[in-house]
Amino acid sequence: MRLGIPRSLFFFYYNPFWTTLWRELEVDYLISPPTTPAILQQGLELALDEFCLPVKVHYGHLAYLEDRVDLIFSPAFGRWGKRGHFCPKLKAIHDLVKRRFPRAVEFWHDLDAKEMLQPGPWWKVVANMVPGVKKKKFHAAWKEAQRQQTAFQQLWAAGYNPLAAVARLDGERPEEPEDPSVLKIGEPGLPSTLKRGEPEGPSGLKIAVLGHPYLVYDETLNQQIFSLLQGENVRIYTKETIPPSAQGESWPSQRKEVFWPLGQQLLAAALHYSTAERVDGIIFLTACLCGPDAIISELLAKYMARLSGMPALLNLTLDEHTGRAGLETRVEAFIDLLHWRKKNAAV
Amino acid sequence: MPRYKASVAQLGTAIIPIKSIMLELGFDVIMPPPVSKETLMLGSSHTPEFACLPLKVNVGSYLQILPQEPEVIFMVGGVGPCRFGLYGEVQKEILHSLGYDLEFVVLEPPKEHLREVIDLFVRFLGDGAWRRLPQALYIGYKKLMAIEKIEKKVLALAPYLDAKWRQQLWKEKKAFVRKIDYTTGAAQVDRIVRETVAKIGSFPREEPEEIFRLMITGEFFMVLEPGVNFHLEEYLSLAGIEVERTIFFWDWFKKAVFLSMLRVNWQKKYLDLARPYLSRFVGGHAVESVAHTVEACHKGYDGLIHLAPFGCMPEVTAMSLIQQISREKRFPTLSLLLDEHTSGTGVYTRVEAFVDLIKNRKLHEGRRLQGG
Repeated sequence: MRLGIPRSLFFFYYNPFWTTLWRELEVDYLISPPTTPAILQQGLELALDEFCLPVKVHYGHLAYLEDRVDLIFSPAFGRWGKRGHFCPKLKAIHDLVKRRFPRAVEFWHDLDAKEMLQPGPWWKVVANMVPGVKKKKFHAAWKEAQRQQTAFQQLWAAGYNPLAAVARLDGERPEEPEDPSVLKIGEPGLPSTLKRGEPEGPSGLKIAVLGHPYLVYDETLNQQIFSLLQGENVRIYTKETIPPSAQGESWPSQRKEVFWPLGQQLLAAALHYSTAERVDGIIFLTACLCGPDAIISELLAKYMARLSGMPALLNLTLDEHTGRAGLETRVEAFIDLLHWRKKNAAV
Repeated sequence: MPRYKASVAQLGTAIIPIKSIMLELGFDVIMPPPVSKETLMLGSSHTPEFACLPLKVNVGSYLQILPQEPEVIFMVGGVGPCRFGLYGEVQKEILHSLGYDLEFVVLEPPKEHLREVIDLFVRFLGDGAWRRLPQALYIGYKKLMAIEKIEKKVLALAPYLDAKWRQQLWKEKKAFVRKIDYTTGAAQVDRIVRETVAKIGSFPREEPEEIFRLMITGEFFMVLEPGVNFHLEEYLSLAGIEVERTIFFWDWFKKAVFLSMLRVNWQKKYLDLARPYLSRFVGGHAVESVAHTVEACHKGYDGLIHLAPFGCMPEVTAMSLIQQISREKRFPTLSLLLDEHTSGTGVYTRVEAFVDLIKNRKLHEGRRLQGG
């Protein structure tokens, strides 16, 4: 039996957990490649027009896997911590795709108060799916998967963004030729080689690129914004690499915590990069028709406008029509503005 | 004790009982003007492009009443995952950026906030207000029940009247709502209801050859506020369609507040109906919308119109599933995603075509059955 794992939605956060679990259970798996224009196109054809870009892309990845595997790992996301929720579309994502992709098997991600997954519901699914698997083996695999996931997330705090962290973890397991595309994605152009604390580029600009992982780490959706920035000698920061102590912070005028934890984390990261570890500019990537993003980007702009000495903010909305040239023009203009700002502040 | 100037967010006719409660409690109430093009224009120019329509309407309404200097605005809130739960926070920031610091009192599920609600109450109304509370709630309740009773009666009666009398019926209904709005006593409310029931009961009825039944479901605000759904209910009712509206304020309030406090699992009924398509509560009214579609199909309705704000996360999810149900069960549905760019002409054209479709379908099927 072969299992297909879509490289979409929260793959960029759960990659080590998902892959380790199936490897330990000795289930052969195939990860869909990084989003290609063909995958995006298929997603657009299958999904409702009114869905947000990441959901459309998810359909495309499932369609890629459909004819290549026996079963598809179909993640859905529910609660996150004590009060947090994923967005309604991600809660319902399996229900949305199940008729179109009968091979999809739902794996429900409900994170408890400590933001940990519970093995119970997964065991029920795995027991039906993998013939002859023993509960003991499942729990051992679960433990190993969690160990890998923890190691992965500890690397974030050490300054590795998720792509760099995965490359690093895979580097520690050279005998694993399993998924070469993960390593490929970390080649020059992406910030996998950039660690926080490395010397600045000659131009001396620092930019935080913030957004949901499926935009920040999907090169097709963000038009390779990282390589674009690196071509301009910009040092890039992302949400994941802020110190754990900064994650619970909220803005001075914020009265209500955002109940999408990822949204709250993005606000916290923006605060961190605006104050404690001040950058020159923040690029906020939002997906067209993403509900939470519409609110969070507005809140961020307003919170920042209340304070003085804030970094400049560029809000980039990405959709399937986003062209490289248009994006390049806006980013270049933003960089010019940052240089100008820096020069004039110095005078 | 000074009287505070208070206002509330728009919500169709359900705003009338709320206004009564606030007046009884001792506020000076500023009513937002009916939702108009201007409201939408003001709102959408100061809110994020991809925010949902209710937020745009709210902000637009607040900007319209600002010259009257409201001191506090009451609204209900939520705890996610729908964006509605963050309206209070976003509105505060938007209005601040425009130079206004308005006080928003966001009434959220009182489990954790009861203390805060009491504090607010005392702050705005003084200690004595407690004594006025039962009377205020009673008159509010009376008015709400009266309005919903007549609204249901009007919708049920319309298909049995001819076109001229249907016009008369809706005129009568609007007059009734105005009278309820002006009155202050519970006894008068009963009298107005009796008179209206008697009056519309005296309209000459006729037996139509065929009755077409449509269900209207969707997002709470879009269904309840005629100003944003282009008076769809009235439009269909005037066309002689029997309209079943699935959302009524009291019904929702009863479930969301009382039954939830008693920990009654009122959602189970909806989840059971929706389950083959949607297996969990995902926020907003998505489960209800899907469940009502299944219900409408089972109960032999001729079609369903699904109303939602453009970009609404729960309802877009529901829309995808409603289309699935429609395909699988060959049941006519029409999802209307509305925003500030939607024109009445466009909506009416689509609705008219949809009504023609369900009429033809029913008559055609009837003939086929008769002819064997």
